[in-house]
Amino acid sequence: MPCAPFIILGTLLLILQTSFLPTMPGWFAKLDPLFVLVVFVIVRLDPYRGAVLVLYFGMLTDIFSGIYSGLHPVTYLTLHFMIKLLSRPFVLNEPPHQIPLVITSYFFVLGLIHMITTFLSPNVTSLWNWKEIIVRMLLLAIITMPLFSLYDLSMTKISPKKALGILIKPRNKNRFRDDF
Amino acid sequence: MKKRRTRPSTPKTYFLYGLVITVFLMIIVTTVGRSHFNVPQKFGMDVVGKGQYVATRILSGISNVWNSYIALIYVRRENKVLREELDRAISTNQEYREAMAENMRLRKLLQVKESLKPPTLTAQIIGRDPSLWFRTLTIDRGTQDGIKKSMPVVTVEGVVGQILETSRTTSKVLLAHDHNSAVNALIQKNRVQGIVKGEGSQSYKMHYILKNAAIEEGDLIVTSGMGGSFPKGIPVGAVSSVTKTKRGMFQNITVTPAVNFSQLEYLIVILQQDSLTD
Repeated sequence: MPCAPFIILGTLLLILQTSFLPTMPGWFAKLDPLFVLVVFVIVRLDPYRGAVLVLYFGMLTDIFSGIYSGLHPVTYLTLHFMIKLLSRPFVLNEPPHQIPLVITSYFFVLGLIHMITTFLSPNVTSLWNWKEIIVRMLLLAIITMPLFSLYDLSMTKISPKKALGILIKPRNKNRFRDDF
Repeated sequence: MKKRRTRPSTPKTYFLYGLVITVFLMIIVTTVGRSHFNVPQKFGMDVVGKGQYVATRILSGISNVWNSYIALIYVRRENKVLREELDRAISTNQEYREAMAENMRLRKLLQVKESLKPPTLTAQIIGRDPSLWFRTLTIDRGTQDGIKKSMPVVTVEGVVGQILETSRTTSKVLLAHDHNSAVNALIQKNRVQGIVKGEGSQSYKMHYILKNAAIEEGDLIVTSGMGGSFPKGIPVGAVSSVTKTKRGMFQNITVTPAVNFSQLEYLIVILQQDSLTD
């Protein structure tokens, strides 16, 4: 699976998220489709390609969000490591786990960013806004499945062989069997 | 029974893993904590900035069509409101003219040299920070227009923030209501000085105002000119609440910003001259 289409998609989503969505009324400004893409590439792609893409998305987000360099790459790579660590016992790749995975990951990333920024500038008191966090997590929960389907679709368009493989290949009865 | 296949763990594989991890670590270590963007980041900012500019232009085109044709039903009501506002503005303008004339007389009287105003530059907002923790935005002006780090950004209403990062064609602005922002300011009526810090929400806190200072709700706060970043006298906001706790030397002052950060569109960057220490 080539990385270039995801790089283009991620860049376009960042443009959408920083220029178009904030001008929309109400909760549109709080949507985070790029974060869903970050989780998607972690879950769907192999660890190395996933890590490279996550690093790119983190560095790109760093330019337009926040004030500390390296904050987003570090948090996204940590998330990548955590998900890959948990993906074996919890089968995070399955559709029923998509929404819990995305919102838990979002909460984890928010917490990590809050922790790092508090560490980097202890004199600054940034408030932990539960209401805002829950609203954003709910919005993520709403958009996760449609976006995962959309990203899956774009992935199958990119690689028809893989799409055929996903459709034809029967699932293992025992998901936890270590057969590779 | 299918034979279990395992991935061979050759020295070559370990070398590859080690190389990837080393590259990642190098990238992270060289990036974290740096106060300036590197060349790829500046390039990324320029490239995505172009995309943001195009998206903003398309959006403003759609918005113009909407405002010009579809929203005509609101024009009559708006016209009435605007006429009332115009009447008020004319009356205020007359008062300002009077105040300006008085100001000129006083300046001549005191023989104070009127300092030259620094050159300014108008910039359009092309991107906003989507994150929860930070309040920054991107403008369509960069180093090729003479913008440098820490230059003040204002609107007609008052202080907006200051330049945080620049690339050739775009710049990132740290808004005054971000947690990491601080502006030297004073209470206009009694010239008591303090520091206005962002709260993340649509308000500021004014720090280091002693309890014996007479501060009331509605008092105007302007920049003090200390610190060399903002020129003196730019509106920052108005005091919205004052509380005095039993402990401590200072008052807790909440300030309503002079600027509505959610409605910003065009900004003015004050192009300061380099100081001798730069």
